[in-house]
Amino acid sequence: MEPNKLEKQFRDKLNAREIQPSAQAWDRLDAMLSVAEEKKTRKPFGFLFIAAGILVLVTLGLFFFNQNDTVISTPNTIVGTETKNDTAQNPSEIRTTPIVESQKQNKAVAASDVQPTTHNNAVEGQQKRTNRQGVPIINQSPKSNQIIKDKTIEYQFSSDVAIKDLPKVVEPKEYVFSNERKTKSDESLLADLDHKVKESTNKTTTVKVDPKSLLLQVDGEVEYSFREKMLQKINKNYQEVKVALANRNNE
Amino acid sequence: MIELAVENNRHAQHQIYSKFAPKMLSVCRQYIKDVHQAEDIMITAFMKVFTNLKNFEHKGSFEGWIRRIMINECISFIRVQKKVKFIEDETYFEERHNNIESQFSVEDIQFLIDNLPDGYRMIFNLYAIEGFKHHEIATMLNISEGTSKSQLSHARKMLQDHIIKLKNYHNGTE
Repeated sequence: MEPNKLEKQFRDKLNAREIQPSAQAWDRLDAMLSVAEEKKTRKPFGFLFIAAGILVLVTLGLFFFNQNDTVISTPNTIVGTETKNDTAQNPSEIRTTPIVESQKQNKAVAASDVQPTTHNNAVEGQQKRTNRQGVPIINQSPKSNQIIKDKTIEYQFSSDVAIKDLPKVVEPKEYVFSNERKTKSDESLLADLDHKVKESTNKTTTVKVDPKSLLLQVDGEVEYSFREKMLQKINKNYQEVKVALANRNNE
Repeated sequence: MIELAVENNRHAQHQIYSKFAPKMLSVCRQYIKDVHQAEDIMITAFMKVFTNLKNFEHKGSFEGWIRRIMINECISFIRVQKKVKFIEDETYFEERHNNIESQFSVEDIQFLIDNLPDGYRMIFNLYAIEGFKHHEIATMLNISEGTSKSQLSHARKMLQDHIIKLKNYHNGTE
C-alpha cells in the first residue's frame, strides 16, 4: 500500500503547480475582510441594542403585571354594575306606578279646582306617549319626587351611571309606594317626603363603599390611558430601533 | 508579517495572500473540478486563515497550516454540496504492482484525478498527494479506517484503468 512511483510523480508535479487566481479574487476577499472587521468593531453597540431590547421587554412585562393587579380589583366595579342593573329594573316599576298615581291626582285636581279638563286630557295623552314627560306635570307631587324620578330616568338612559347616587335611586321606589297607599294631604306628603329624603341623604353618608369603587374605576381609567400612551411610545421607540438595526445590517 | 496581518493590516494580509494564493488554488483544484468553485473555496478558506491567524502557533510551517485549512474547507464543501457518502465496504483489491514508468504532464494528472468520483478523488488526494495516513483520513472524513483503505484501492484501480485508456488515446493520436 505504499505510494508507488507514479503517485510520487503525481505528488511532485501537483505540488509544484501554481494556478494564478483571478484578479477579482483578492477584491472579494478584501471586501469580506472589511465586513468582518466592521462587525467586530460594531459588536459592543450590538450588545447595547440587545440590552436596550431586554430593558424594554422587562418594562413591558412590569406594565402587564400591573394591569393584572387592576384586573383583580375589578370585582368591586362589577358589584357596582350589578347594582346598576337593579336600579335599571327599579325605574320600570316606578314608571308604572306614577301613571296610576298621576291619573288619580289629576282626577282629584279636576274635582276640586275645576281646572280645564282639556289640559288634563292633553296631559294624559302626553303620559301615554312618554312616561318621562308625564311625571313632571303632576303639579301636586313634590318637587323632590320630580327630581328623583328624573334622575331615575336619567340613569336608565345614560350609560355612565354614577354609583354614588345609587341609594337615592332605590329610595324613591319606597316612598312612591307610600304615596300611593296613603294618598294623604299634600302637606303631609311633603313632610313625609322631606323626612324620607333626609333619611336617604343620611343613608348615603353611611354607604361609603361605592365611592371607593368609583375612585378605583376612575384611577384605573386614568392609569390605563397613561399606560396606553407609554406603550405606544415604547412601541414607537422599539420600531425605530428595529429599523435602525435593520438598516445597519443591510449596510 | 503574520503579526501585522493579525492586527488586520490589509497590506500584510495582501502580501500573505499573494504569496500563497496560487499554490492554494492548485490544492483546491485537486479536490474540485471547477476552477471558479475552487477559487470561491480558496477565498473562504483565506477568510478563515485571517480570522484564525491569532490562533496560529508558530510550530509547524505556515504554509502547511494554510494548506490544512484549504483541504478542510474543500472536504467540508464536497461533503455538504455533493453529499458524498462512503460505502462502508472493507473489500480491497490485491495490489497490482504496476510499473508505469511513463511521464505525465500536470494537465494529464489533473485530468486523471478529475475523472475519479468525488469520494475516490478525496481519499486518493489525501493519501497519495498529501501523505496522510489511513487513520488520519478516517478521522477527518468520519469513516472507518477499512473504508478509507478500500476506497483508496478502488481509486487506484480506476486510476490505472484511466491511465491505460489515456495512453491508448495518446498512442492513437501520435
